[in-house]
Amino acid sequence: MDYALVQAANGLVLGIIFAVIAVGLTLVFAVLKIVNFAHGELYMMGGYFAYYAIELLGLSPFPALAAAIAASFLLAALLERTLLTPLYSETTERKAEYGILITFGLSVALRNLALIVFGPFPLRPPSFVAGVQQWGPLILTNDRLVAGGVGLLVLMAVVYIMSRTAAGHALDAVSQSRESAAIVGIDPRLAYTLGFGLGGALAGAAGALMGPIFSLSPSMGILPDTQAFVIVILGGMGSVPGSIVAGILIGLLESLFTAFFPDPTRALSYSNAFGVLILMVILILRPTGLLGRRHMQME
Amino acid sequence: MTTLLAARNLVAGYLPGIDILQGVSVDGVRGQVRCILGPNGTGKSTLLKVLFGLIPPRAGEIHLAGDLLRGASPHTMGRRGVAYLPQRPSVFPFLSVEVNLRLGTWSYRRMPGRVEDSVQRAFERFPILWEKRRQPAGTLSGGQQRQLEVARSLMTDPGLILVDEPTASIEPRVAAQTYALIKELAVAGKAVLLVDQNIRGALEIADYVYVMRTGALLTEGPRGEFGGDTEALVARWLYASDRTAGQAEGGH
Repeated sequence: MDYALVQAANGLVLGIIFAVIAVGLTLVFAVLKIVNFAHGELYMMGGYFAYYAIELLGLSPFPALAAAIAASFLLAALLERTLLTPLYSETTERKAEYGILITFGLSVALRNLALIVFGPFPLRPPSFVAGVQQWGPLILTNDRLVAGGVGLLVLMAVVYIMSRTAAGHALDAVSQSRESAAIVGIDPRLAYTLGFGLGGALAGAAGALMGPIFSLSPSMGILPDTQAFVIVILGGMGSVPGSIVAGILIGLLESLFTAFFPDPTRALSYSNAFGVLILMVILILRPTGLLGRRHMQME
Repeated sequence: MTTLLAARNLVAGYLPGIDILQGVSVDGVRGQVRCILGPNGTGKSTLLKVLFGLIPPRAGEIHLAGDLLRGASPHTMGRRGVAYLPQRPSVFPFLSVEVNLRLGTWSYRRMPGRVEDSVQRAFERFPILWEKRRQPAGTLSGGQQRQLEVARSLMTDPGLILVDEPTASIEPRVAAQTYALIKELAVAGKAVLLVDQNIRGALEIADYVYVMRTGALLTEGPRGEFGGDTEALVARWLYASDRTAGQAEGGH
């Protein structure tokens, strides 16, 4: 039972981080109507940004985290401005295919670029706060507590932006109808850059938070990216609250599955499959996902 | 009467090589409802989309308040005081009625005092929207959604309003209110360009009429020049339309 409690706590932290990554992915999908296959690589870049902000600029871990979020936003916004512009041109045929190919290519390019620039060996940024906390049988490292706490703050900030600010309403408006958004005077190009930048910033924040826990490597984004796809579909494509609920749910359930699986030596190998199983069951019951919008307008 | 919008010889279309508009010229004049009539598929809605910047013209000129606009985007037109009410619903169905209204103030969103004033005025003018302000706009009836669109388009106090089929799919009582509101806007000094299939309803409030056929203007003139005989106009127009259809069938 103690093991299950520890797993539940770890699962909650992982779930929050999954949710941060997935919210970024779902925002990009909602606003730009593309699936960003390079989202995991933006997560990876966030980790390296934080690492080098500490190593090269001499920042302490928390300012380095802020710098990594800002740098990830700028990188994503730059990538959107340079690579995704053909998506908005009336002369581009097969825009969906273009979106898939360009982001998939970007994913491979960023991963290999990281291999050349950062090297193949794992790097470990210093802890945000060294040490562990113990409450009875429950032991958690401070880094996990920081990741969970800051991740939660980030999620609250996104919910606030989307539900209370004019910029969030504008992003939501563009996600519902580009033409109607243009009619009220919103510049869709600005919304695309903001949406993709925000998505990148969220991925980067998650990468920077997880760096001290799992170390950094060029391929570190592959698994979280796969998880994020599962979570986004489970929560409902384009739904920010859905991704938050689904992320925390998947993190918790996968960790508890590992705790209760009869063969502990194999439990970890099956945990991702368990997540997909949950997805399949939910989709049979609710084809639009947990909180998906039933009539999502696709323009 | 001031001419706010002057569009000259507009040519435009959706597919390369196929021009839906073939040299159309229209004016938007302050204090007037100018009505654009014509059969389905003749390019009336396309004309409004071109005027609002949703479709770039292939040829021709659009002057707004004396300035020549080249390739102006919809949000630029919005900032320049042009509002557009499209034929199909344009509310954001998952956002609340109040947020929909607030999005209408996007161009001056950094002026909170003005935003609040505009929202309050809209609620005073359309009390039903105040009652339903927290509801998602998609849950409103068709007529209420149309009222929300009208209220939202007025948030910027536009000088020119482009209205496409304002009474399509709404009940007659609400349609009559909508026409009365459009006329009221013109009387208040706004220029209105109205595209409508409801010829009788539109002609009742029109000051000037354009009749379009196959992407070009067939005729135009002040409402009075049509002899005040709405039935005759409708018959003439329908007869012409039927004859064209008959010729087309005969050709096959």
